[in-house]
Amino acid sequence: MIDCETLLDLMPVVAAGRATWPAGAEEHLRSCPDCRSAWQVIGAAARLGRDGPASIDYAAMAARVSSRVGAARRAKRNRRNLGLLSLLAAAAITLIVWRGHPGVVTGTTGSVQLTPEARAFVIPVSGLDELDTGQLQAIYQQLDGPLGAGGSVGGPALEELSPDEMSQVLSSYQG
Amino acid sequence: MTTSPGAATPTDQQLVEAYRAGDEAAAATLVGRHGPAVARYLSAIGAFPGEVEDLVQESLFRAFRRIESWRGEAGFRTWLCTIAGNLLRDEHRKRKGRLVVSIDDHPLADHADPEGTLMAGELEVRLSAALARLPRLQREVFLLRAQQEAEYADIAAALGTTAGAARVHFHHAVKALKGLIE
Repeated sequence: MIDCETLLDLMPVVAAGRATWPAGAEEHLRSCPDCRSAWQVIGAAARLGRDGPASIDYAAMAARVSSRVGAARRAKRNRRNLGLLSLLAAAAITLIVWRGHPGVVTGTTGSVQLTPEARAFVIPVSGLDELDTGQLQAIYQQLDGPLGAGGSVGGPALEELSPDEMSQVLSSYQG
Repeated sequence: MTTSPGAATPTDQQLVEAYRAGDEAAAATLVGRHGPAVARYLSAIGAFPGEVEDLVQESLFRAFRRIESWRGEAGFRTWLCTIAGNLLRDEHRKRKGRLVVSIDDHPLADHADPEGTLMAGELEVRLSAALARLPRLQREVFLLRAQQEAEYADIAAALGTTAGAARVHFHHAVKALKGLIE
């Protein structure tokens, strides 16, 4: 005797006409209200949507789908090529920067030497290269000292000013 | 749905391989073979008649665009139906709260044979309403099995579950539908 679960598993294929009931199934259906009810549900499900949109032209749809897939693949290929080009460009720029500016050649001792082309872009700072070491040292110390210290311009240091004089100096800064 | 190897009619697997190799006619054959079933499936899971054609086309487009991802574990039709189901869910989620239903979207009774329509169609109408109340997985498993005649293993591969679980979902769905229809 066939049981309810086995019968239920068979129902879709029988409803679709791909199989026939095995022996004993029809008797079971007659005597089992649960299975009869399930058979009604499965039968209705097999018919569901059968009267759906009959006007669809599937040949035309296939052509549209193929065309869209082709366009999507071309777009994807173009994006990939563009990405590859960008990557190559980035790699080239990185290489140039890493190897150094084309105008600068690193000497064997590690010192930087300028090529003749690069020398054309060097802006000379007049005066400083004519000073001796002592003069350069004095300038360096002035630059390194506290603000207002030292009398290189010949005037008094800030700490020597009275409160009134200091106010005047501050007023002059404020305009 | 596949046919046996060696037969005059090429199998889905053979057609997919031909399409992958550049044979556009293979795609047309696959669309002609499975398009109507996908349309029926979409109608059954809640698509409005007016949107079925667009949804079928979009489902087929998505399927053929990533045809490499179909490796034959699930049947081609079951795979297409799963894509269509996901698409419908996404579309309805996007349009939630601003859905406008055309009066053309409501199937009209066949007045030439009102009694016959009532007898044949009443159960389907009740079943459609009952299906909408099932959990999504149960509904999809039920329709793939009862409407698309897919095997449990096939359904399991398409929905990412086991054949045993698919069978349980089917049996639960039938039980729930019987209760909802009666």
